[in-house]
Amino acid sequence: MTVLVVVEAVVVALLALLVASLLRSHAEILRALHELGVGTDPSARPAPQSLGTSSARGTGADVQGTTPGGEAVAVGVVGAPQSTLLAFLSSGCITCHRFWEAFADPRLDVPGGARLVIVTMGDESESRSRIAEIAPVGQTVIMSSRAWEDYDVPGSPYFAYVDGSTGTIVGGGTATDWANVREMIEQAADDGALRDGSEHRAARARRARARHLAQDAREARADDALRAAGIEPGDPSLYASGRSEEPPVR
Amino acid sequence: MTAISASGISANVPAGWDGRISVRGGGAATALHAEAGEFVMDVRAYTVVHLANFALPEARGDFGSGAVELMGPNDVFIVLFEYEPSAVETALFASHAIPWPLPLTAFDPSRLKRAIRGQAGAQSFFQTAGRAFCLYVVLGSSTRRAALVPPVNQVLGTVTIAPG
Repeated sequence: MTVLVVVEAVVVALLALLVASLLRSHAEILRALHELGVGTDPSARPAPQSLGTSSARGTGADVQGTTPGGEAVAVGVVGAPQSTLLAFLSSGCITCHRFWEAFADPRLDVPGGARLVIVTMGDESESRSRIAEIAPVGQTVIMSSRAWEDYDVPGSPYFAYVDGSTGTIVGGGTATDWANVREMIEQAADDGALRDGSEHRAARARRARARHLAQDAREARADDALRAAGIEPGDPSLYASGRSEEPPVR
Repeated sequence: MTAISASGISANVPAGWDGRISVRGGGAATALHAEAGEFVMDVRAYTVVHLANFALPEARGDFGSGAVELMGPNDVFIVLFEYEPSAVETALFASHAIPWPLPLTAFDPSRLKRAIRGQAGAQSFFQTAGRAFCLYVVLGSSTRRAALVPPVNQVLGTVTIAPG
């Protein structure tokens, strides 16, 4: 009887160990999936790597490969007259489909006046016919495993923003949607990570103007609300001390 | 410098430049329907090479429509367009001399396929390796020929054509 109890205890202990190791393995898989932007919680967004200033990211490289249609292609990235946003996508990744769809929008506007180039793996890892099927019309799509190696791409989706004049990779990382990528690039531009070219100055001016207009709109809404409440400019209630000021001479 | 190659044509694309080698027809037979019956017109693919020091748009014609309109004064656009094999028998392609390096005098606004103010073009028809080609080059600025033609010739110097 004692032997039976001991054997049973050992079996239970072994089973408990097995369950614990399975749970740990499961948690590691979930964590890895979360980092890649795949998960069941739609509100959960992985923290993308910043596209901020970073000289440590190194220098970019021109992209060479083939188009889904079979053309031999080389795209100038380093020394190009404009910056380039390289979007490393695949046909199979679920998150990538949001980008394939977003890039099909003819109104797509890449911040900083950058050129968008979509890069997939080559024939050894991708279906050419599938890529040809989902490739957005009018966008440059290149199949090149070499480019994935050159930019040290850990997985898809992945983005690299290369300054054309210096060839510097000013930022890289993953994201869950196009708005996320835009935000990161604009932040990098505001941080001065991109060269101070005219297109970037123009982009900054556009954003500044938009912010200014938004502020004007807020002030107009506030004025309307105050007037509706019977409070006109110069009303004593507008001043903490209760003192009324002379309205400015116009 | 990046090398691209397809259909027996290769070129070295300088850093920052775009290059494309497209094969038209893909070798597919073209059936011609005539009163005498159906017969095959031409089974050979032909090639179009585009080289440019600016971002080539995806939607562009063989001779650069859709691209030349985007060119700035410092931009250059090179087309090497292959014609059907039988063209080597015609007078237009009688020259066996590779047309590059191009002299400055080869460029003129009147040689543009589509006249765009300020631009200049050059056209040469020739045959090599049993294949008939038109070389067409557009400069973004006619007045900047002295600065723009040398890089064009430098790139053309790397182009090699093998028998088709």
